[in-house]
Amino acid sequence: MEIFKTAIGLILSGDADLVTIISLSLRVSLSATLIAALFAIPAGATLAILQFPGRRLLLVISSAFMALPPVMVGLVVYLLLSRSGPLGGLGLLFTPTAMIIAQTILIFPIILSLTQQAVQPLNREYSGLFNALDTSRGLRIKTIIWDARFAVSIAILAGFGRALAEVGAVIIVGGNINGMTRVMTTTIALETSKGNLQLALALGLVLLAIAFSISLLTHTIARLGEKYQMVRA
Amino acid sequence: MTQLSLNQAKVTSGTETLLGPITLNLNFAGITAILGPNGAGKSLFLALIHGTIASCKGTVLWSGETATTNRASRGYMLQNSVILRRTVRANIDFALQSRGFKNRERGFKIDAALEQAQLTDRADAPAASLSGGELRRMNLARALVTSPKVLLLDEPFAGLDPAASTAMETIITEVGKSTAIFMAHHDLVQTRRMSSYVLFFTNGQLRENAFAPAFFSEPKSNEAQQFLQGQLL
Repeated sequence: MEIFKTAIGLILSGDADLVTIISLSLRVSLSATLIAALFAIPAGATLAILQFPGRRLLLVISSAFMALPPVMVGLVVYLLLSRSGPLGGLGLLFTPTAMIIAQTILIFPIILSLTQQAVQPLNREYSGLFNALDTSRGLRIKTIIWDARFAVSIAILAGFGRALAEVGAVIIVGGNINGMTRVMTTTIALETSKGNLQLALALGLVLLAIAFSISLLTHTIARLGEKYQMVRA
Repeated sequence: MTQLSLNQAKVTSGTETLLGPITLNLNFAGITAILGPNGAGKSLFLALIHGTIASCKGTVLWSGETATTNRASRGYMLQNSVILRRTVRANIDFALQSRGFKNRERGFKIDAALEQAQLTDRADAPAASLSGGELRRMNLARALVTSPKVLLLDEPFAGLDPAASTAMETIITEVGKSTAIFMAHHDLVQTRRMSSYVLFFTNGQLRENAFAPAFFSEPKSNEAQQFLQGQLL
């Protein structure tokens, strides 16, 4: 119980290290979520409305990649960014940018698949109207994304949750450098192994609090969505 | 005055003929009823003359122009009400957006369509909250709002109670004074009251086309006689 008190004390005191770590975590994961969503949402909707050979294969690949192991993503990005790798010249390894790249890759398939699943039934339902009105491809994509906006927001939050909680990718490409690339999850792993359980637990509690906020936000969004949902066939 | 002419028009699926061949010349304003039992091909005929069927043979011409072009000059109300997850106003606006109307003309046109469909006070409600009758009127408004020369209505009265049906009839009759209307229907009393011309179908064949009074008093084909006597075909 003593350890909980110390951990909560650490959070409440606004410990400088703690604040740096939390803010880097949020900066990296929010950036990754924003970039991934920007591309994954239109891509998911496009996959839902277009019929082309290989579409099903793409869908299978993208849902398989939802379960992509973070360490695997970390390793691939590491190989790309390391000195001798094809992008080694950019000098990005062990920087927050590298961490953003890795997390973006990790959550892109999650947001894409969830978006595609959310808009697919809408496209089926609307296609009669789209054809009758000769609605352009661009407007079709915009329309199904907007009308599935609540489910799409939930897809974004799922991606953000995944990014914030993963350890494997950021620890490989970030290197867990104190004051530079140390985020909440990697700090917990390190401090626990060093026996510094107070700090680890404090960060764990913050992560948990963020997870609860995301869940709360998800439910609020879903509730808001209800009044626009169809009530009859 | 709108001219519709079909020459050996036929809809096929594989080796099976679903509709036609139909040869027909109409030079007509007012309301034309498309009558026939379920499965007669009424909806397919509407889709054919709207120009949204890819696999058709023969020709379908509106004032000399093939039906697959210039579909914007026709408004098409589908049998199943498609409800976009937005307000009533936004649902109607969608038709204008699809047809590429400019921002500044849209507001005025939507207001006029809302008024015509008696939905002005429901404009900002989510479409999903409408009653069955209101929903049908919203679909009519969406077909009307682009100011089409010809209006194609697929079963506008299906499933409506008497009050909702009467409201719909009043609106359609009013619109019919200035717009050519083709309307699939199977209620004989209402058709007799509303329409000036009749196209009668069974089993994908056009059996009879005549002015409404002539059709109802002296049907020529056996099928039409049986249909008017209430015998199922």
